[in-house]
Amino acid sequence: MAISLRGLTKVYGTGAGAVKALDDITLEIPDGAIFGIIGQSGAGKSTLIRCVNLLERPSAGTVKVGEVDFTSLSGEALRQARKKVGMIFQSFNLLSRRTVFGNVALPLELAGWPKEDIRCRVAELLALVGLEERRNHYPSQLSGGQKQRVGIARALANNPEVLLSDEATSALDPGTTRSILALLRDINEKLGFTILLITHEMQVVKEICHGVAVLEKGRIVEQGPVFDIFADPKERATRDMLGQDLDAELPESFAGLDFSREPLPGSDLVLRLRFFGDIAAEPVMCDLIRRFDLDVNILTAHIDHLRNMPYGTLVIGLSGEERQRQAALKALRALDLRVEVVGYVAKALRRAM
Amino acid sequence: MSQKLFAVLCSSFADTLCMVGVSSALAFLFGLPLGVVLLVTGKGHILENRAVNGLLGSIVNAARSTPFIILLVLLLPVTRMVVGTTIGTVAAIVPLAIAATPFVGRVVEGALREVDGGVIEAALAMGATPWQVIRKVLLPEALPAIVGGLTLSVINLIGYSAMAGAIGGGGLGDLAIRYGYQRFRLDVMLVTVAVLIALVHLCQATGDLLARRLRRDGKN
Repeated sequence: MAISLRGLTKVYGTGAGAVKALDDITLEIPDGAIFGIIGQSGAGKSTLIRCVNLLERPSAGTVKVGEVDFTSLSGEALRQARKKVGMIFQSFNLLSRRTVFGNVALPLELAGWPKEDIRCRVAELLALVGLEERRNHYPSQLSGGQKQRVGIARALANNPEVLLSDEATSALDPGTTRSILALLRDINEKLGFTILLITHEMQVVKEICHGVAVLEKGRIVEQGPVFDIFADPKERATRDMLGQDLDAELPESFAGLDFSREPLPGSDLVLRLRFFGDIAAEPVMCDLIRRFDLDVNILTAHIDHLRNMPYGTLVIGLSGEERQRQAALKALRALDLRVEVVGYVAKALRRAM
Repeated sequence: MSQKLFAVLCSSFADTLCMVGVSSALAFLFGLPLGVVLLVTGKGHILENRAVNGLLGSIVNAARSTPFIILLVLLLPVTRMVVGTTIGTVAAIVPLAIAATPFVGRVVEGALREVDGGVIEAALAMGATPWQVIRKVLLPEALPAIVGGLTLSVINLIGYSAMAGAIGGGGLGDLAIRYGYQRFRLDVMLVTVAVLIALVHLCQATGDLLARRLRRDGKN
């Protein structure tokens, strides 16, 4: 089921001490998608996901899951609607005094299922998450990954249409994180429901999300397909989040140098090229050297893959005649690349480094 | 110790057990719901209600800050109304139960407060009603802590019951005062104290064992 957030705003407190945790969030998450919301801690991610099933009531705006406007519901109607929205948590939130079986059975008991049906359904769910063997264990006897599997089984019990994941892998080690993400992707493909997840880990988004939104100080600063955001982040906040994933910075030897907008005698023209998709397979640099009478110096390069699609950044220095360089720049701009002119830098200065 | 004294000791012990047992049962009966209401009507909780919470809170605080011996006297008319007399074991049960109920209420409230808020949130996200949260999540999760708190309440009541003896309630406290103090029978005093110590120990050990069994941390 699609999730649609319109103008979602959450303000804590009143008057001068009021804090805007969410500011006019509008998001459309298509049916069947895995959508990630990423942001630093304090960006408002937790508030946002809690507003979806109204654990927090938004101050303004609407939340629609499928055709149901959650914000218009309360009491029994809201409780019934919540049964169609599963949720998993960073700290698992399992009942310590119930076994694995008992924990998965809880939502079914709450929904008033007969005992025999509960037994069948729980067995089915435990098989789905690979925990049949552990059905009589207590949470304290399980590893973090197993606890999250119980959490997932529990969230799926009522056949929800939507799964909300509140930092579900943040307390897990990298290996376990991967296996939990694989399970989520598997469930998404098998059962076809929508997953909305919040995380501060870029890796999570990279691994399973289709779309992503970047949240900063309660606002969405950038959103789009994961590949576009990774390959071509437009906002400072996004680049910060990407951190090591996309080293778009200049090499250290350039730090503190003045780049000139105007060509200087005997200078390099430094360009930053961002490329994504098919263009990465083209011999762009070769062409450049062949077609123009220029020296091309690669200063820094970073290439990564996202679901078999290459993307990366290249910083190059061009030296040669200015006319040739301008022609090369024009040729590059005609290609499917993002070209940014960093500026001219005197060769002598650089050599001194 | 003479046979007669032994018989008196036995019957006093039985009186104490009766007073403590019945008043504990009554205090749990009223204190448990009281504790639940104190918690869930609190600020930001599932059934927030400032009026109810404020009213119950002040009654509980007032009752708890009154010394038991004074409460005992203040409650004499109530006792007479309920059981028809103010003297004897049955009469002592009324003030004991009334004094212990707010204590149990606070103990239960404290135990429930220890339940991780995330678990409550998970239940609400599943569409649980407030009553389901209380019955399926709060009470079962807090049970070991509640048992620990109830043990404390019973032990408190054993102490109070000795005081009730002072105004004609019977029981071991009464025996210690009458024989041990007023008739200078140090031996009776010491035996009574030993029995009380043993009783408290037994309660504590039983409570601890039960709480540990209930905790189910996979290590037992």
